[in-house]
Amino acid sequence: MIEFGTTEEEQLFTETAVRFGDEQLRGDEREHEKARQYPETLHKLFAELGLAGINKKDAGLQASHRIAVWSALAAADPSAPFGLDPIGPGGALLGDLPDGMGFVVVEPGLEVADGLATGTIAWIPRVRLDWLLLIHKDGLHLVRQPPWEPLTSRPCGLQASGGLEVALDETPCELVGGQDMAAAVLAECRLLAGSVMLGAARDAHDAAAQYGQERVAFGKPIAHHQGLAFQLADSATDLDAAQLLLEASQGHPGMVANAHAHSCEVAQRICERAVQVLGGHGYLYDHRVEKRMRDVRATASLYGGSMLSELDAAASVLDFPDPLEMAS
Amino acid sequence: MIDTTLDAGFTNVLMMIREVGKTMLRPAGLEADRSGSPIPEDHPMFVAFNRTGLSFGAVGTGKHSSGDGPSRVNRAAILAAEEMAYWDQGACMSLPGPGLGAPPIRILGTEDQKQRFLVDPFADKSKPAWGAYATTEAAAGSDVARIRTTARKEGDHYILDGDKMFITNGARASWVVVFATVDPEAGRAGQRAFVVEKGTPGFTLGRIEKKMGLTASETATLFFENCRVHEDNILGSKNGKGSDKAGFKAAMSTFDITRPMVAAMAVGIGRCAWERAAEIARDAFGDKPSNPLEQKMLERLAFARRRLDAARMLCWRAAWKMDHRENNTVEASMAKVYAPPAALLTTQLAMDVCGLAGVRNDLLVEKCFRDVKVFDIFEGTGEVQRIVLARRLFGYPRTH
Ligand SMILES: Cc1cc2nc3c(=O)[nH]c(=O)nc-3n(C[C@H](O)[C@H](O)[C@H](O)COP(=O)(O)OP(=O)(O)OC[C@H]3O[C@@H](n4cnc5c(N)ncnc54)[C@H](O)[C@@H]3O)c2cc1C
Repeated sequence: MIEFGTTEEEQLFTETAVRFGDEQLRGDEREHEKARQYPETLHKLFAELGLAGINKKDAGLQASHRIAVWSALAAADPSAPFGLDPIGPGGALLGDLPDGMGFVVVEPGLEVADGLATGTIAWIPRVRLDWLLLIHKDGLHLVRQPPWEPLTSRPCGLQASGGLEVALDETPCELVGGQDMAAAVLAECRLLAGSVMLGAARDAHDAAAQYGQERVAFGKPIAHHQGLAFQLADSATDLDAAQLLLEASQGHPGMVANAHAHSCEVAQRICERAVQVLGGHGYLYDHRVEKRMRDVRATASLYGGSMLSELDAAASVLDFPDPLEMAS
Repeated sequence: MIDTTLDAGFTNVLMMIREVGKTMLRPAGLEADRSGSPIPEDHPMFVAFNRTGLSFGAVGTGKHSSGDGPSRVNRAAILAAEEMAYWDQGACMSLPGPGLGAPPIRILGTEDQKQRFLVDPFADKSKPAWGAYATTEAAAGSDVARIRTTARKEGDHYILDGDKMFITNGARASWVVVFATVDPEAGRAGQRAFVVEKGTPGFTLGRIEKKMGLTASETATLFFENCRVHEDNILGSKNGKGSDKAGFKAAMSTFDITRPMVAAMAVGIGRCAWERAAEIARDAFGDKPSNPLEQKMLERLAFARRRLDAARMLCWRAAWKMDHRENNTVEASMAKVYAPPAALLTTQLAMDVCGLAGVRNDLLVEKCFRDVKVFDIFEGTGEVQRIVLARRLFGYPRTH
């Protein structure tokens, strides 16, 4: 049966994340960005609300719950999922990950052979790192206690999550999953990154749509000038389309890759449009659309970025599931 | 026939700018971006720049031709604009000089005003000086008729009251051309341009804005409270007659010169990001991609490149028309509509090509991405340019 509703449980998770975002993140977003980390008290509260465990396998949640939470958090501050969730995507699929903060990396330049990994990971949006999962063509490799350094440079977005650089030099790693598991983890990463981008873009669009109804130029609210009204209507439509595509792609890695590539494209465009709607004001730190545009751009580079997703999608496009297949 | 070759004159301009860009603009721009504050007024770059003898206010209306042929000024200016922006547009906007304040003084000002404001303050090259231009207010940008700063006549003075926002070099400027209204009901017809000098009682500085990009350039809020400006400082004649409707039309026509330049600046920033990404791609796989991902990088670069090249042609055409003293409103608006989004897309695709490293501010492409967005906003937003085009091309009606 075709259904578009949300379950009560999903709604509960969303509401918790929205409340946390509104009460704890929105007002201090710029402060957190400046500090390039979240205060300890926030980590604690996040854990107390049960949000820190949503990517644990034993939480028993579905991808739709995780999408709902990450999307809601990202609407308030796109850095928050990366900065506050200690496990992140992939954790829900793997049982026994080490404690502490980890991250999944897809870095085409990495060499992994004979249990050793070599190469540089130029940016990880974390304040510290206790483990790394490397997605490699032969499977999933775990690096315990990877050597990391805080970034001396600044990333264009997601700054509140911190920023690290990792230089692996024949660093020991363990194969913890085969190609299928690697593909599943990558799909989960893309789903959650997509939900962050779309959550952030929706928030930017909401800000723009509201501003557009309040700001007057040439005798009427700017949103009532057709040139802007059409753009805002396009944004709303693009957002829904991308969101539906992303949510419907769960469980179909090829579709997820396509949905992720689409989210990258759509979310960037919507944030950029939101800045445009606010005119010069949108370019200032005063308005959150400025930060959304940067945060979404940074998120679009994670987990292999849209180029890799486009390639994976292209590779699997002939296997595109028809409705009958999706029913099974 | 279209000829896009650069002769020796143009090449020389580019070579000079390249040197300034490499040695001054890029380092100062990066320094400012990292510190998060505009280049300070006492930065040695400004005196060093003055010593080069270069000036970038030399755009014209096509009247200054050398010899019999058409002017070359606008084509030189468009090349200069792209090249400067390639090195650092924020730093470029911070350079000493009358800046955006020059065109209204040149067009509306009396000879005495030109001497006082365009010549005298800039004579001593060892003391960098700036001018600024202020129309925008918090509640009025594109719709200039909505400005609320008032000018009330009192004897031989005007009393200015109001706030101006987004003013480039506004805090460091020796003078600011301020647009104020003597009759709020009259819309644009009631507006006059005043040169308000630094230190005039009632003229105070607000904050310096924190922006997504162009950090090297100062963007200031200015306050005018009971600010007494002598009538000698109203542009044109004493009652501002020079700045009535005809004067305004003249002032607006400078946009046909500056819009293609602003578009060319966007091309310059896009080119900078593109070249950096192309270098990264070349470092990664030389001439030949060996896998689909590398092939994808090339496709991204080609996709961006064709848009940038087309944008540059639109800019050059608009400048060429201006040099030939032909109306170029359509061409100028087309350049301004097309180039900034093309350049923004280029920076985004360049970041894709650079992978995770592209997100960091030490690779330049990320900075280009933050710098370029505003080019679709200032000097006439993309939407307003589309309205200009629609009016000119197919009679889109004026609704306001
Ligand atoms: C870095 C920077 C430097 C600047 N320097 C200066 C300076 O030195 N001096 C100065 O005076 N100003 C300056 N400005 C201001 C700049 O010129 C304005 O930001 C610009 O004119 C747009 O005005 P606004 O920001 O008020 O946007 P608005 O005019 O409020 O526009 C908001 C949105 O509405 C759209 N819109 C408006 N009218 C219509 C319509 N009829 N149809 C469809 N869409 C419409 C716009 O396109 C835009 O997308 C600067 C701005 C920046 C960001």
